[in-house]
Amino acid sequence: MTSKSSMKKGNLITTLLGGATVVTLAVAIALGLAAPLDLNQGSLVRLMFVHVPSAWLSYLAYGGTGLFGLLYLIGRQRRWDRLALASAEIGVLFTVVTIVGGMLWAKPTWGVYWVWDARLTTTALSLVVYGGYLLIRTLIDDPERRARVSAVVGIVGTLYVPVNYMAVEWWRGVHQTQTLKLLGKMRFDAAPIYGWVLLMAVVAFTFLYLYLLRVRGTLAAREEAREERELLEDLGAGAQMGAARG
Amino acid sequence: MSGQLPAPLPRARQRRRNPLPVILGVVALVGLSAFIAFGNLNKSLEYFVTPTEYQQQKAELEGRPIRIGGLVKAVNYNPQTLDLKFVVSDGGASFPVQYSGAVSDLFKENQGVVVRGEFQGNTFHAQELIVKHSEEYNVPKTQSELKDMLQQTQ
Repeated sequence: MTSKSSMKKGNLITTLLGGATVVTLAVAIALGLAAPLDLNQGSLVRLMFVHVPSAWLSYLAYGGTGLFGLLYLIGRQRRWDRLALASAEIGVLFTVVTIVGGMLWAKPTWGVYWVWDARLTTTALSLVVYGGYLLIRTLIDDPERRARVSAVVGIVGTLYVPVNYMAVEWWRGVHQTQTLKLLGKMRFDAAPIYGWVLLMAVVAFTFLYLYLLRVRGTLAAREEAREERELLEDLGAGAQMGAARG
Repeated sequence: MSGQLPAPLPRARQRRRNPLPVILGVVALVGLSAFIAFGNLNKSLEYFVTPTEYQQQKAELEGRPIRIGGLVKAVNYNPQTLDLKFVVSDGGASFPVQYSGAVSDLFKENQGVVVRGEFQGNTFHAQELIVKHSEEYNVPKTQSELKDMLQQTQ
């Protein structure tokens, strides 16, 4: 198991990630509050400063679930499975954050909270896919089998990220297309100040993801250690009783 | 129960499973996604038709509830009765639209909208009006723009 010094080092990295999150988040908030309001939508533009980074974080987290799942299948190390689980939970959480923020923005601009256009529908589908991922995990008792099955689901689920990103390009809908155009000639169709706010917020949310991933991963490791200890205790008690009877 | 376990059981023999079903399943899922993305399903995933498309497919679409998306022209809004008349256009074709109810603050000339309803004669009677927002976000550049914006916010 982990020695004391390596545990200390692990804690230090977690603390540093947490610190980086707080600092970058503070800068992003200050920038966001100082940025001038949008010509058409006024202060509503500030919801974008949360909506876009949380969507980014959910992509990152779902991508992480696929990547750690792949690493598990290659290396068969349980820690990759724990990180995949942590990443999926974070992804679901921040998809919900993205949806709620988007709905609050949509009501005053579009006039409705929700439309079933391609972008919104695929986003809702990701909750089904990763809700299913988390559900499957609870249904399989054998940890190795659970890790294997969920790794495959996690890898296939990663398809959600490109489909959701491209949904506004592929199908006509209500959700606006990308402001930062990465396909073809790169272009940013907004005031540059909004670009800086978004960049800072995306950096902050990336640190937030890494921090939450570490914290949740550590938690999962402790849960697993406890389960194994309890299992061994059960087996030990069983063996003793068996010996007493025999 | 667990207390009666006589001895640890020998490790169960693992049945070597045929990987073919798994591979087929993954291929099927990937294929399905690709089909949804690029295939014929495109049509049903489109949220609205444009006025030009409506004109071309008039025979099929007439009398059915549909969504039409385009730009707003010639707005005529009565804030007292909430009666709204405008023209939805995509440059190629345009149709008069009738709607009753409050609309989003962003509704104005040349704004993108999606209206749901049906044609009665040549006029589109909308039950639902969604104002689209473009992907562009801009800060006011001149003093008068800033003044306008502050007035609107108040």
